[in-house]
Amino acid sequence: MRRVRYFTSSYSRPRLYLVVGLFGLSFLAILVRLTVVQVGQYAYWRQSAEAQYGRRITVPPVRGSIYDRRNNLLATSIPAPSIYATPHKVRQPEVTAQKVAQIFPTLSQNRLAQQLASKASFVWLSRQVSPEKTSALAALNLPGIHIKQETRRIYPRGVMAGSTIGYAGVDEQGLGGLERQYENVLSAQPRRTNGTRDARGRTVSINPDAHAEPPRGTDLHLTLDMRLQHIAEKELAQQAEAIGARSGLVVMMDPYTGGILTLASYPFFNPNDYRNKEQRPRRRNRAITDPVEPGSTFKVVAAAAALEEKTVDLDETFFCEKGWTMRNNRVLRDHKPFEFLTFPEVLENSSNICMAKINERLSSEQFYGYIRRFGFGEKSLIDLPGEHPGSIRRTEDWSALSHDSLTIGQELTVTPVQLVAAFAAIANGGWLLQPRLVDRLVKDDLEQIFKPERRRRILSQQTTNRLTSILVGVVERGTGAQAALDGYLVAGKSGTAQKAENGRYSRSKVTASFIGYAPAEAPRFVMLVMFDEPKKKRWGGTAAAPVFCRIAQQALHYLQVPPGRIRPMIEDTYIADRTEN
Amino acid sequence: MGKPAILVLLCCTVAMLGGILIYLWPQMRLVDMGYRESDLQKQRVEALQRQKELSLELVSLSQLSRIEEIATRYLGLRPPQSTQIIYVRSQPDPQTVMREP
Repeated sequence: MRRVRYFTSSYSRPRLYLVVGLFGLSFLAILVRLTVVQVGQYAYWRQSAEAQYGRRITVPPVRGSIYDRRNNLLATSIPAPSIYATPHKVRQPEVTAQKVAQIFPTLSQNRLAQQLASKASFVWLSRQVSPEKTSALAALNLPGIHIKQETRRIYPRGVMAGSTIGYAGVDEQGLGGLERQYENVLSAQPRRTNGTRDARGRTVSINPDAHAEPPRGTDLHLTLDMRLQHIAEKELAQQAEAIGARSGLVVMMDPYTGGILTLASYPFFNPNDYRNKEQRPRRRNRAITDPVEPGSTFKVVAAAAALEEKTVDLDETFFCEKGWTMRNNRVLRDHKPFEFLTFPEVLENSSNICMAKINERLSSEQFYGYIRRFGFGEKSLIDLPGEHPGSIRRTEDWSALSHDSLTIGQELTVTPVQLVAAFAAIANGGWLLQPRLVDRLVKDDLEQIFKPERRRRILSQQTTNRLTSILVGVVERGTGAQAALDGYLVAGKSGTAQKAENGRYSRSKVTASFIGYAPAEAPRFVMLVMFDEPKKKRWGGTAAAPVFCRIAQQALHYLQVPPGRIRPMIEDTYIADRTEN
Repeated sequence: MGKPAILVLLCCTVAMLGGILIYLWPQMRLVDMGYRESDLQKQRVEALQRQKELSLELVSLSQLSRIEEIATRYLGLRPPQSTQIIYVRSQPDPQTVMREP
C-alpha cells in the first residue's frame, strides 16, 4: 500500500509558513477589529443597529365599555385597522394603487394612484377596515403602504338610549352624551414599546410587555335599565306615531337615589350612524337641552308652597268663577266651568282660576323662593353635557300677570329632568336629589361607586304626604284618570302647555305631558311622559297619561312589585297635623 | 511543519468554526422563535377579534325588540295580564330594595 506523505518537500515549507502566517494575521486582524467594534465602539454600533432593525411599537388603547345597571353591554370598541401611505416610499404608484384597489373595491384606483403619487408625507387610504382585508394587504408587503391598529366604537343595541349614551368619532373621541361627558374616564393612553424587525420589515420579536392586554379605559356602569328603556321606547314610539307628535320623551328616575332608569327621546338617535345628516337633529338629549313651559304640572309646585306655608286648608273651598274670570286685566279660563272646589279638587280638576286664587296668598318672593328651592332656574347637575338651566325671571322683572302665569306653569321654562327631580322630591319625602346616569366606574378589580347626592331638603314629610294623597286623587278622579293602574296607586299630574309662537301662545301647538310616581305609597320610580305638538289627543291626560299607564304597568311587573293598594288618607294626616298644632 | 502542527491548526479552525456555530445557533433559533411568536400573536389577535365579533353578534341577536317580535309574530305569545302574574317571595334584589334618600 502506497503511503502518501504531505508537506515533506523542502520547497513547500516557506509557502506553508506564509499561508499559516497570513491566516494568523487575518485572524489577528479580525480579533483586533472585533475587539474594537465590540468594546471600543460598542455604543455607536449598538445605536446604529437598533436604528436599523429596532422598531417602536405602539399598542393602541381600548376605550372603556358602557353597560346598563344589570351589566348588559350598551357600547364597546372592536379592532378596526386603518390603512395609510407614505407616498415618498411608494415605488410604483400605479401598480400599488391597482393592488390596493383589488382588495378595497370601494376605493377608486385613479384616486389612489393620485394619492400615492402626491408629495404628501402621510395619506390616509381607508379608515377602520375589516381585519381580513388588512391581512390580505399585509401579505402583499407593499412598500410605502402601512397598517395602523385602531379600534371602532360599536353600539350593539342600535337606537336604544342613543342620545343618552352619545357617540364617539372616528378617532374614538367622545363627541356627545355620556361618551363626551366621561371622555377622560373612558379613554386611555397608548402604550409604547420596542420591537425588532428583519431586513424585509417583518416583526421578529417584541418585548413581552407588548403581549400583555392593551391599555384599557374605565368601564361605565349606568343607572339605566335596558329592559325599562326598551319598554319606554316601544310605548313612546307607538304613541308618538299614533297621535302625530313632533317628538316625545320619557324620563324615569329612582326617587331615592336620583338614578335615571330610563331616558328615551323620540325620534330615536342611532349612534352607529351619527354621521348621517338625518341623525344630526336627534343627537341632542331633549330632556336636558330643550327647556319647555311646564303648564299645569307646575301647579304642584304652587300647591306644595301653599301647603308648606300653611296658607290653605285641605277642606277649604274655592269658587272657580264658572270657568272664566278677569284677573289683572287678563282673561283667565278653565277647561271646564267649575263652581266650588275644595283644595284637592282644584288640583284634581286642574283649575287655573282657583289655583291662581290659592297662590295669591303667597308673596311673589315666597313663591319665587319655592320655585328656586325645587331646582328650577339652575342646572340639575346631571352628568350629561349641554344641560340647560331653564329660565325664571327674578321678581323685580315680573309683570302684574307673572304671579298667576307662573302658578299655572307659564312665563318660565324647565327641562324635563328638572321636573322629574322636583317630583322625585315629593315622592321621597322632601329631598331634592342630583339626577345621575352613572352608577359606578369599573377598571380591572377597582370599582368606584357613586352614592346618591342630596342637594337639599325642600319640603317637610308632612307636606309631601298630603301632596301624594292629592296627586293620587288626580289619577283616581281627575285629569290623570288614564294613568290609573290595576292593583297599584299612582300619584301624578297632567299638563297641557300652549307653545309660544311669534310672541303669543299658539292655539294649535301644545306640549302634552303627564308626570307621576308609582306605587304612590312607596314609589319605585318617578316618570315623565311628554309629547311635543301632538296633532291628535292634545291634552296631557289623553296623550301622555295612557303611555304612563302602559309603561308603569310593565315596569312594576318587571321590578317585581306585587300589587297592593295602601290608600294614603288625607284626613288622617290632616287630623294628625292639627293635633300636633 | 509536522503532522501535529497541521492537526493543531485544523483543531483550531474547527474549534473556531464550532464556536461561531454555537454562538450563531441560539441567535438563529431566537430569530426563528421570534417569527413564530409574531405569527402566534397575530393569530391570538385574530381569535380575540373573532370572539368579540361573536359576542357582539350575540348581543345584537338578543335585542329585546327582536325577541319580542319573534315571540309575538312567530310564536303567538302575548304579554301576561296582571292577573296572570304570581309573585314569589325570594331573596331581595339589592337593586330593588327600598332605600332612604
